[in-house]
Amino acid sequence: MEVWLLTVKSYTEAIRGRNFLQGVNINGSVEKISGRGGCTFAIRIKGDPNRASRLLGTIGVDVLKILEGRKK
Amino acid sequence: MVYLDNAATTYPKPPSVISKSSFALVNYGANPGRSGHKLSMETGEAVYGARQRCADFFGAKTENVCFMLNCTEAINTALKGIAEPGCHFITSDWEHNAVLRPLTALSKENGISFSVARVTDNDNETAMNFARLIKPETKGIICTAASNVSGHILPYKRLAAICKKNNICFILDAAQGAGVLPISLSDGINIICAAGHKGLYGPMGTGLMITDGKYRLKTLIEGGTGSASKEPEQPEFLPDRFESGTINTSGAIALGEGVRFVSEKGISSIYEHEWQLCSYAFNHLRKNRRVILYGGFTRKNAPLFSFNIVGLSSDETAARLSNSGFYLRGGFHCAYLAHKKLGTLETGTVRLAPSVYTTKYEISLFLRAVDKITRVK
Repeated sequence: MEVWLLTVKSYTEAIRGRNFLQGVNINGSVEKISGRGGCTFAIRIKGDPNRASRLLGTIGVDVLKILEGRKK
Repeated sequence: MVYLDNAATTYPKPPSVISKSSFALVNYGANPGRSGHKLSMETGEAVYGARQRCADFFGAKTENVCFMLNCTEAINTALKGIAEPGCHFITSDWEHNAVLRPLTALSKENGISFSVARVTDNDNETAMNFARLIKPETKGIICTAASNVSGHILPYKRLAAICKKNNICFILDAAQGAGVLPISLSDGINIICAAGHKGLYGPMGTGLMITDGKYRLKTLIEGGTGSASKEPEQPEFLPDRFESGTINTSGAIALGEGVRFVSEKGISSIYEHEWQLCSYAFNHLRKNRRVILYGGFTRKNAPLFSFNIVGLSSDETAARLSNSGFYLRGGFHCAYLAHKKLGTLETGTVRLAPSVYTTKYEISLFLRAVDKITRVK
């Protein structure tokens, strides 16, 4: 299964988003990434990133970018 | 030693808060929200847990809970964040300097002004006194939930409703209310400012600013937040907007534990316990002709009250009590307006403020000590 990084604004949002996704059976973890906007945090998930992104939007967590993640 | 100065800061702290604080210092030693290594992430998770607990407690969204140094910083952040040139605020005549001084400082710039509403024992009258001061340029009402000198509880839910109706901001100084009074954003309060180290039983150096997100606030300070770091502008989003620089990580985590402690005990049972102790003390002191009590002590009071002993300054009384092992605060309690209202600007008052740990036996020892002082005087 593909691994994706859903970048969000802050670590607070990342943890909130990850906790929410876990509640709908999408397991994820939080990690720091440094991108064009500088430092930020992302939720690493497996599965459909667009669905996860949509779900996060329902609780006000905006996904800034969806990046392809490397498998750890 | 009997500590009755819990309105200044609660002591002792619950064992769980102490152990959480030291656990955090030992085990959460990295900077949260900055680095990507395991220890930083674990620390971030612990801070998030504390933030979430505070959010649940005050009916807020987790991200709208901002950790502050203390309630004063939260009040300054809220007031100065919302102030605009030419705007007007309304406050009460029970306020602490944490409210009065920022308002006074604001009033010296850009045509900002403020009015002081008279609080009475009649909540309807108090609400009307606030409402009639609202002008077209009024930006908001800021007031304490309960006086730190008399314990008088303001009708803050009514005031929140008045603000909502007039589309102005309601900022609540919950320094003496949080942990003993039901305070929630769901009551229509826009911004709650709370001390972490008083009724929430966290460590000193902690406070909270909790917002419903309706009002955009300017920042008092800007700096690194661990987010959007290539942007020279301060982030708009919370909590990062108001948490520049490293937060008091162990303090925040321990505060979360304090909030858990209060939640488990229940604010109504904490209030009841402390209120009964105050009532017992108040009714005993009332019989002593050499003791001056200020106002009554009813269900409209948070669990604290002020008194004096005839012929002694409040500091002398506090010092004599201290020599006998009873720790209370004398003086003006950083509340000029309150003493003006009580007519105690010359003497100040001695304040009795129990905590969840205070026992009736301790209060009875304290009362004996007061009786002794009044006898030998």
